[in-house]
Amino acid sequence: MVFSSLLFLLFFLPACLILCFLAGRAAGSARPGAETAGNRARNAVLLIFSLFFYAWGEAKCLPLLMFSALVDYIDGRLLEKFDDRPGIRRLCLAVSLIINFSLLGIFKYADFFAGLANRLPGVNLPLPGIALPIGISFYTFQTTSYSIDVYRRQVSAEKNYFRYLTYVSMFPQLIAGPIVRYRTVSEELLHRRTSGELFTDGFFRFLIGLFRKVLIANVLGELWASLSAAADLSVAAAWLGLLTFTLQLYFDFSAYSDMAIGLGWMLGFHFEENFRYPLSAVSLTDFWRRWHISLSGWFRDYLYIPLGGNRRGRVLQLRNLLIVWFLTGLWHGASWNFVLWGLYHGLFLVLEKFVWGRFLEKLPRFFRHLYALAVIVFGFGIFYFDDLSVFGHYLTFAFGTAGNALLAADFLWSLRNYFPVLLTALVLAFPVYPRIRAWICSRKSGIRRILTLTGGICCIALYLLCLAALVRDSYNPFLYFRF
Amino acid sequence: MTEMAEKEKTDISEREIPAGIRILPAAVIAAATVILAVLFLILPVRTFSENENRTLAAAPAFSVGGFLSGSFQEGFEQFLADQFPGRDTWFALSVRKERLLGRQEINSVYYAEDADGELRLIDEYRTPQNTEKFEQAVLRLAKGVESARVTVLLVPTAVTIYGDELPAEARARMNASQEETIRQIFSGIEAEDTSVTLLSAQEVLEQGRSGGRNMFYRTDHHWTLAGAYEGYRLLSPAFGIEDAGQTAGTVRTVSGDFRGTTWSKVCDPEVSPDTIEIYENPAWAGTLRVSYEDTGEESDSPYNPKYLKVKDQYSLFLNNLHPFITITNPGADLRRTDPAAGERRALAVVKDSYANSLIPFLIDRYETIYIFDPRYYRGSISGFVNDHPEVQDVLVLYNLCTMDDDRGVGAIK
Repeated sequence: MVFSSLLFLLFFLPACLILCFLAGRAAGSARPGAETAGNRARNAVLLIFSLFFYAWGEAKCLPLLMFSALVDYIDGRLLEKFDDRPGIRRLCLAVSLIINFSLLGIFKYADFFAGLANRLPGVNLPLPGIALPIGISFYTFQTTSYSIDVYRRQVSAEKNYFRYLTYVSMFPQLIAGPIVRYRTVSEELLHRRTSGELFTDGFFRFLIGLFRKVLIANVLGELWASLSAAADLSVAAAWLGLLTFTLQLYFDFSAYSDMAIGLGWMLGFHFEENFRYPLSAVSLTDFWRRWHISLSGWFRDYLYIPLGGNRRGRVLQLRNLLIVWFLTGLWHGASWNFVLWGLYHGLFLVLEKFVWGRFLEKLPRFFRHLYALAVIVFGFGIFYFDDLSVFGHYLTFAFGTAGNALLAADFLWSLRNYFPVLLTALVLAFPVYPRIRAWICSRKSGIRRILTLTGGICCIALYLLCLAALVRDSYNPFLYFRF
Repeated sequence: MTEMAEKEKTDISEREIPAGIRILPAAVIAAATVILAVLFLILPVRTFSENENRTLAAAPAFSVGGFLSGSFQEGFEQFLADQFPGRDTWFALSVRKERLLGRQEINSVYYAEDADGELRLIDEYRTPQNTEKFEQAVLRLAKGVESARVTVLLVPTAVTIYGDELPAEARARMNASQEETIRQIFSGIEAEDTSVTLLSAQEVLEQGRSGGRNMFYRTDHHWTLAGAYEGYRLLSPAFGIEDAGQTAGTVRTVSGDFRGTTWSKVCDPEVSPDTIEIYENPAWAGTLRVSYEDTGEESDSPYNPKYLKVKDQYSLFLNNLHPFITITNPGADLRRTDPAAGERRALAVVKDSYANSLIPFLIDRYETIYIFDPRYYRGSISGFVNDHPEVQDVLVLYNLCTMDDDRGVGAIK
């Protein structure tokens, strides 16, 4: 199930919220410090809805999810039980990591590895053709982060399997992030406070995500679908296409995180922010502090720093960066273009760190934005085309070496049809909304009320337009579903 | 100094967005959602959408296998979208939004606009892939037919005749030229077989248009009766028909609310409906017989007015789709310009649906017309023609879109 679907909006979400609310009022009080009966009932509702949510998309793979959670639950208990036996603890952690990454390897990369092996002379493995279970990349990273955190004694182990499963399967963040760590929500799993204000905040946060997804990302997706499939493109249209895809991907993915965070608030959870206007970055270093923060944080805390980070000299630091960016790329999919995309970003980070970072900082802000955006947009070209020869063909359009025009009807047509959406997307990719909000807050009480109400009415209208687009069954993919 | 800081602090806390005023729109949205959910549950299931001209999804039957494979879920989400309360209104709202944001193409339908601001919907046109297949089909047929003469009439579609009403960039996007395609096909056929008469309707349709008549429906992919009439006039000299410009019958408007297949892809209420005209001859009364071989139906008219009550009104012409139709008109006017060719009593037509509105004009001029739809007719057409020596003309009539994507073309023999 995806959030931007009629089933989710009309039935799943209202039912889940109403039942959670009713369950939360269940009678009975617990010992001080323990979980209340109301909270236990809420968690039960949340777990059942989450499992149904997952099963709706991928019923066959539900046992895999539950098994993966079971492994790390047991691991957590063992780590705590053998608190004073470092050897056993290391073994426990190793077993957990091996199982988790083996599952990920089999279900996500089997074809990729088999294909690699087949390149060796004399090897001819059949490709297993396993379909990627939805969300496996996300929940594998969650469960491993839990085991590592327990190993590091940064969080105490969860005693109750079902509560742990509730954390892993929690539907807001299940299939496309953010990669929520157990320690972020462990307190709230036990007792969380919901309030009308938090609920309303979450409600609007979710709505804004929905608007960004349905009214912007999907529409841009249509434009990109037509441009990327065109037999011939002008230089201007080719670059517009790459920019469009970048915006689509950003709006698609960050909208999903918006909705996830909003849903979390409605249910009483606080997830960490996953995006901070990444396209407004002034460098690639800046970009990675703003893009998919929960993923880069995972790689930093569980890979880069354990490898020694930057504390062991330049050579090892470069090796560590290479490993991290190779794997960051590979995480996005079992295909070389993702690896290349990761290394491409790694390369720019290294260059900024050691070569032109200082110089960049002296440039006027406008040029820094331009530099970052150009590198990012080109990078997403690598990201999109899983066949590099197709990308190469596309680049002949982008650089005008295909004998194509600099500017042709395809560019004008795209603008004519998509200009308002493109412009809105470009503006909203920068932190405009917080500024508007701050400006509204700085007005006098009466004006503030009128503006807030106007905003609310706009939300109603936009919500109706979202429903209309979903009813019309127009283009509605979720890009990060594949990962 | 401290005082000012204090004051600023209180100001900011007062400057939060007031909560109550935000709850109101949230409540409206929540209530609307719940009402729609309830309406979905209580409203009766619609089986067919007139607007979209398609069967709507019904509730899928639940099975464990279906749930595990995901087909149940897919079916259910389709069911939910199709049976959404007020689906047509939502559909129209979504299209209106896109139009207001400047879209001139929706669902591969392009919006063209004439000088008076009247809209015309034109289907996307792509470079044809199967021109060779069509050439081969015609050559096969011409080779198989022993004595009758074969005439090919290719009809360009609205994208060519009304292309100048499209936005310039859209024209450039659909730069495949039907004129060029026709030329290529004709030279391909001519190189192999010079006995086939080859006609393109482009010029006459363009002339008809400059004469102020509408050659194509604004909401459908078919030509209008006026367009079909131009086609008929173009054919007449090839068939040796005398006085082809004259028609003994009359034209009558039978519908003013036709919204065709192109419209069904966008369901845009902004585009006004078409009128449908038909050609009738009072002399047909009592003598004309139209028989549909597959259903065994017999009629005294080439029209089936029952289709005027449904969405797909163009199906009124020749009663929609049939593999083989025979029309006999004992009172036909057999005068020909070329007496040496003998009396042309019978005609065989191999065709797509464009022919359905042209054939009524030909009824006046042939005693018998045999009509084959190669999509459904499985026999040998040339064999049939050879077995019926009264057939002296064979007409192959296709428009430039079906010529390319019609599955039946490959079966012509």
